[in-house]
Amino acid sequence: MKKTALMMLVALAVVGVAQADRTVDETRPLAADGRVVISNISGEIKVAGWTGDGVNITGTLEDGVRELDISSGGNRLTIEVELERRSRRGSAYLTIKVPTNANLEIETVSANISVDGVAGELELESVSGHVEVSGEPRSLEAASVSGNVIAASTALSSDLESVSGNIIVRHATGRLDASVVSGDIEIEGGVLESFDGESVSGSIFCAARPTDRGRFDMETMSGKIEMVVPQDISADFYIETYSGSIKNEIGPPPKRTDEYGPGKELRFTAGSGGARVSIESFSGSVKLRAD
Amino acid sequence: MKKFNCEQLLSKLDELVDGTLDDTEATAARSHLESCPSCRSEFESTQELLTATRSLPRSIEPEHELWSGIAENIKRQRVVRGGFNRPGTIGSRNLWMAAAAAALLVVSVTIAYMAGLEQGRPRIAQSPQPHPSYMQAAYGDLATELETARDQLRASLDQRQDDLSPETWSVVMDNLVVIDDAIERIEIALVDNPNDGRLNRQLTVAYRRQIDLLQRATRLPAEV
Repeated sequence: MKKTALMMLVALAVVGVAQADRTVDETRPLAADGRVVISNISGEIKVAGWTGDGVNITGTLEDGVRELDISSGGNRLTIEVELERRSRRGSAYLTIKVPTNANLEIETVSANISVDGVAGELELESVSGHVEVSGEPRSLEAASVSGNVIAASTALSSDLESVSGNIIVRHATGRLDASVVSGDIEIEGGVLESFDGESVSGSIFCAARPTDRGRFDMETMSGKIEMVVPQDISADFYIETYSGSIKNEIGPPPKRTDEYGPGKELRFTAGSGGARVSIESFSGSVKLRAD
Repeated sequence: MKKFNCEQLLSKLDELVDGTLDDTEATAARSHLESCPSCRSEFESTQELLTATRSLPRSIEPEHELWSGIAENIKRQRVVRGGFNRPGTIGSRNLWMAAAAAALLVVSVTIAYMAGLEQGRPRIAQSPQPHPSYMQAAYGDLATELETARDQLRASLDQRQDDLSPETWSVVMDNLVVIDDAIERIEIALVDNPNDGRLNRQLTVAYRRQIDLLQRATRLPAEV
């Protein structure tokens, strides 16, 4: 009797393991410029652009995942990870290949999102997962609450947000809006028509160059702002802080805005001007560093 | 012919929009605008903003004598971690109305502030009131509506605490505290500098960030 019970337990365990490791390999048709909508609670979503036909989905569904619901209609394919009833735990690790010009909407809770080589419009959102993008999407909206948002390059129009996570852009192009509360913003290089960076307590680091008529606006309450300025830049600088400090390595020192108050401001033109750089802080320090 | 660079143009922007520049300067300004998209964009934004402000009531002015009550009121309105324990429920329709109202109100308050700037701003009224926040003191009913909408969002978020993981809840609360701290520090600075346009603008930005985060947090998908 004991032996039978033991065998049954082993059998159940084997079934459990088998359920935990279900694999997926599905291909569905989609127009070259179709829209793919993906949702997943936890695990990982990796999307890559390809030149093959339709959408190919491979990966693993772990224990707690009831099924992968794939449905299509019109120009749209929806891929949804369904959890077991009453279950809030269950991870899916999916690799999804989509037409290069497809548009993406991805939403996760803790699952990380990565997208590579997709040239359409990207809308990516996670609660605590990281969001990572490479390639040259037409437009990019990426947001996380506590995860990092990392873009190897940005789109013609990019809107990146995090609350406590960091935003990191390696090579910026086009128009970029980046907003954090306590996370940091780091723009490591590139050329931008416009950059709007906003933080409450997080720092902003910008090593991108504005175009000839580019416009940079950076604003923080208590974070630090540092801009690495190319030596040959032509730009008008407008910098103000209520109680922070301003350090300028490329031009004149700041002036006090008031004889008795703590405010400082700095206005000057580098080169022949043209681009415009505005930096404003409440108490955070501002530094213009020579490249 | 006189020529303007960007800095000169921007320093004359208000007069240009108001049509009070003399002919020589107006010609130089227009000439610069034709060749400078950045300044042209700034000029158009200012024009739009002033057009909007002209349709607003002009009675929104801060009351400098009210500062003694502000600190107390600020403390009452701080976000305390896990402290959203208001009774009652809010339906999703009300929530979205509150969110929309809050967003509109932040815009309205900002525009109202700009209206004050346009009038040479801010004029100091004489009649004190008990315990207003800075926003209430400066923007009256608009600010009251903003705070009501914000409180509704907070109450709604409180009801969602069980839907969110402790980690996410903690991140949201911590960052609301960060924003509250910023608001508090700006409001304290405004006690000594009520006419500082930069501080007033930063305050409205901080309120907008607060509303943005509350809206976003109430929309987060359930985690647990």
